[in-house]
Amino acid sequence: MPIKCNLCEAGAILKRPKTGDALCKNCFYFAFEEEVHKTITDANLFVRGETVAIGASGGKDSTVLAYVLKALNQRYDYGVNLVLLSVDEGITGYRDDSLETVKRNQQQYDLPLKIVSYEELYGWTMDAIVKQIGLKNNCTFCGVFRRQALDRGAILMKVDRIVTGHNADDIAETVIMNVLRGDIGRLQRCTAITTGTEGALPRSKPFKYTYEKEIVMYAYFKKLDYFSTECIYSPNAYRGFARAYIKDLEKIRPSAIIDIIHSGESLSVKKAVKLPTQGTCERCGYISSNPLCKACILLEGLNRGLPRLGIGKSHKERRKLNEMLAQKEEAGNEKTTPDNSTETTENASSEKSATGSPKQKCENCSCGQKCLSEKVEDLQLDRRKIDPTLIDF
Amino acid sequence: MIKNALLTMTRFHPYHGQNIRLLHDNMVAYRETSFAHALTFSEKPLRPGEIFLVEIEKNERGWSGHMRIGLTQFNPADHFELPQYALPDLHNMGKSWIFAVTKSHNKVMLNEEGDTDNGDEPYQSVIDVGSRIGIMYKVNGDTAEMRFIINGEDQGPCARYIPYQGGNLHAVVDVYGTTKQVRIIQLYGVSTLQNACRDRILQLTSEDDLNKLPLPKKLKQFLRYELVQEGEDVSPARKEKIVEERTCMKCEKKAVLVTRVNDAFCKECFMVYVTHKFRAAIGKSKLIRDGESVLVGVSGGQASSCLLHLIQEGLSGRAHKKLRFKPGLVFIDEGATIGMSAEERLANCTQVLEIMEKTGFPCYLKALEQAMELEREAVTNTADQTDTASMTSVEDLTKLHRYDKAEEELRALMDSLKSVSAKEDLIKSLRHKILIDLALKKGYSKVMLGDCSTRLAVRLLTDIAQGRGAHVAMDTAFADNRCNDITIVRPIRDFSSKEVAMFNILNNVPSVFIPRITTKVYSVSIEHLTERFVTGLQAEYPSTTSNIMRTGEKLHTEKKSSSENQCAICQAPLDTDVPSSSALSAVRFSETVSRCSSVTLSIFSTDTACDGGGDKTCQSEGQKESECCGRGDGSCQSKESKLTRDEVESALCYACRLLIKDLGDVSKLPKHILDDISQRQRRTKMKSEIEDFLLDPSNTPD
Repeated sequence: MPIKCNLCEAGAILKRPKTGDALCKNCFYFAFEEEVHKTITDANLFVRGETVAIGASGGKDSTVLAYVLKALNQRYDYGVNLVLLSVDEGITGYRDDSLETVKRNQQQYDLPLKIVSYEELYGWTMDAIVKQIGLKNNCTFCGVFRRQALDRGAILMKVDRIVTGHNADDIAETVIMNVLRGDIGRLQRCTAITTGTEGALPRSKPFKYTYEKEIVMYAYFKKLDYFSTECIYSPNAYRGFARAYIKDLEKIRPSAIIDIIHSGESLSVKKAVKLPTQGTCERCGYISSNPLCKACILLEGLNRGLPRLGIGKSHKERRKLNEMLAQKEEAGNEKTTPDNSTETTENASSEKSATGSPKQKCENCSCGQKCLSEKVEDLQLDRRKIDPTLIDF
Repeated sequence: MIKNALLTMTRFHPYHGQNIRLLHDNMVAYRETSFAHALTFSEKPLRPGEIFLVEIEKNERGWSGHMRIGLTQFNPADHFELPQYALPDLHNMGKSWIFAVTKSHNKVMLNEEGDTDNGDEPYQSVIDVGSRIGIMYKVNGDTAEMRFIINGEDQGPCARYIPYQGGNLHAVVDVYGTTKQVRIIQLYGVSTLQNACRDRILQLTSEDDLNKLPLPKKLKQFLRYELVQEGEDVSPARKEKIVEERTCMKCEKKAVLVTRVNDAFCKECFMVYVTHKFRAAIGKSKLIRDGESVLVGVSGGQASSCLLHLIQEGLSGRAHKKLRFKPGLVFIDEGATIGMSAEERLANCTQVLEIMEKTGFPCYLKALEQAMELEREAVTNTADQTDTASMTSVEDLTKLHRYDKAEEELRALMDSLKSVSAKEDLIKSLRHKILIDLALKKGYSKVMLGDCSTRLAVRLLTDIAQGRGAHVAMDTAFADNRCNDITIVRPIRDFSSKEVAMFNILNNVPSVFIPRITTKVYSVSIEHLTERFVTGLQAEYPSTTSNIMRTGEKLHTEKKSSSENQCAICQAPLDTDVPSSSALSAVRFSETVSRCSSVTLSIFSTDTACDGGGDKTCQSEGQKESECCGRGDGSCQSKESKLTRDEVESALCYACRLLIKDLGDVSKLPKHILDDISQRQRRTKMKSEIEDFLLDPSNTPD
């Protein structure tokens, strides 16, 4: 006996992962879209007349997001201008293919598209970074850089807001990850539907309450054109654990994903706990809870040939840098390190003029010059381990 | 049939996933890149009883998930389109029985002596290099059952009713995730004389002695399976286990155990360390006053036995600074939840009782089903003094027998809960209720529980997974003050389960193993799954537990003053007052939009309203209400009958609502919970009647 749709007389073709109800194709579309619409209106995500950039990767989430937002914008007349924004990380065999999908989407949905690349923003493609760092921790670079790249692209396109395709599964996963890492600041932030309200461009997640499985279903039945391959570089192993856990939970109790988000929303942090204050990066002006933003530190590491500088226990890397610089000094102490990026040299010289004592030796790294190190020392790059004798850079 | 197999070697089929390269005459499968597209098949179909055995030769870090193995009736010779993964894709194509090999699958002791003193992991995990995983099927009538053989151990059937006559069964291996390269271990055939010689030599000579053999280097390499074929890397050397002599970090004597990576202790120093930690936890909290009566919950398990031992030590005259509270012990028998017989329950009770009585503290014995009739007891004030300080265990049994009716009710309640997670959650709340109730009646002002950090880390994550985020702090903090009169304290919350176990071993602390609702089932409850997740992670990242606990420390639970704002089941503050943009309203909307198209919103609620009869919720306790609601005098004359599901839900927190969703019939809930809810209903009603005359509507008398 064919199962009937819960809502109408048609035969059901699927069971909603979220609620377990049998629905027909059209009723599923209806429910799916209505839910996204409700999320948008409840959280007042859109303001009439704004330009909204959709972070498009070519994957299922962003493809469905672009499709649904375009449809809803027409149906409910949000009055926003939608544009597509993509980041090209420079991963051959992965991103170049997926960007083709985005380009097709641009034509199918008739939306303007902007692509910003790591290469133009940072001077490094992911392929080049992986050559340096290997397959461990490469995801750190990609993640940190992508966040900024999206914002920079958005500023170039003069948009008022970015929306991303993060779905409920992603958010639940992030909640678990942040609990496991003890990162209370992020734990508090990660369930907010809109982040970066003060100062930076606001970012929202209209799929916050949408199950990944339903997004796949939607794309599948609508036959949406999306790109589905994993990144050719290793996935983030630790996140993989959290992901597997969420999937297992979902099997036991399908509502678990939303339950975790509810947990995340209702967590309250002790007043006594110090949360990192968000400021801006001294170097690039991007939002950051440290004096220098992570992207700048990682980039500095890459340019200096010490790609692990911003990763893990930084004191080891700093010591290495220390030694390297000490050797250089022995060799011929007047020269600055040849592999310094121009940026660093500029900074170093500006530091020089600022202090007004160019001949003064740097006490920390004995590099023969007043170098960036002191500045960084004041800034206390690493909040957890502050050991002045080792801080250097 | 097996004879056929004997004639040839077992190989991989030349048709395989695009990322696979076959080496060594198709006996080794190597995944060149990525983590997917790595399906491989046995060259020939398996015969009944034939074992297809592979050894993991290489792993690759950075992926999640491991090798998958199983049987399929798809024939690789048909060159059908291969899916990316065995699970779920190939599995979903049907005619395939595939399982993932997981870390916790089975653990094989490497160290025969069971030397627990050195801190190194004495286990080899199934997914490590060198592990051998085999698959076979046995015919059983018209169908077959599939079995795993892991490192020589038959794991028993893992898939049944395989219609083996429906088509040839090929073994399928997905070289997935961390597993990078596998080799088929030849069990039946000998391909070459060379291989036969190798097998024989390896049988007679230990691996270490191979080097001493008077053979050319290349042959030795061959013997060690190291002979490099074209384009193949030499397989990495197996990890040698390093056992080094360590000294105690405090006194330089020989260490007997390692608590964390760098902390080795001798026995004396470990005892001092543990005792200090316990006393410091109590002292720092400044909660337990001199001479205060404290009820200690004893489950018979490791942690509570450890706690009991520490308390005894601390109270004994020998102690450096004596602890000065007065403990009483309670054991709650939960045998009814898993349908234990009266004899089994008696046996468990006797065992735990024996341990408890030895301490000389007052002991109480309770059964979980007593939670079903808590209020009734309070009314009649029956002298159910199960004070067993002077009681023999036979009498206890008769005591337990008194709760036959309650036991039936409890079982009915358990049966009507569909999921194990919900059962577990409810048991926890009932247990809690009994503890509080007993403490109140017997004049204890604190309840002490033996929750260790590992346990609490699991609970924290479980809480989050069940939507109890708001209650995490209460559930895991040193002091839990959700009940106004009784505070629950957890003095050993800084102990890891490893420390607890080592303490118990070194002190010969007895403990009793009592099966629970999740003991025999495989990962079906959220808590059980979380436990596996946390312990698995802990093995690889030793800071997992402390990280989780650190997160918990920074959180707090906002306590609401009015008892009407507490959940009727778990007593935690309600967390259901949320803005329109929230998970709760999103869930509600999802249900509405996919159930009640647009018109009939009410169908759902009336439809599922409880239809169970015989609920006398408000009749017996009509007079009793005033006590609990404070000033509700004379308001309880309304003896309306059943509570609807919606009414029950309104008095529950988010997580307990999930629990109720699982429950077929809300009227099966314990009386005290239903009473509490219906009383709230009446008060809300009362309030709405007089609302117009209240000057400040927010000012409720409670």
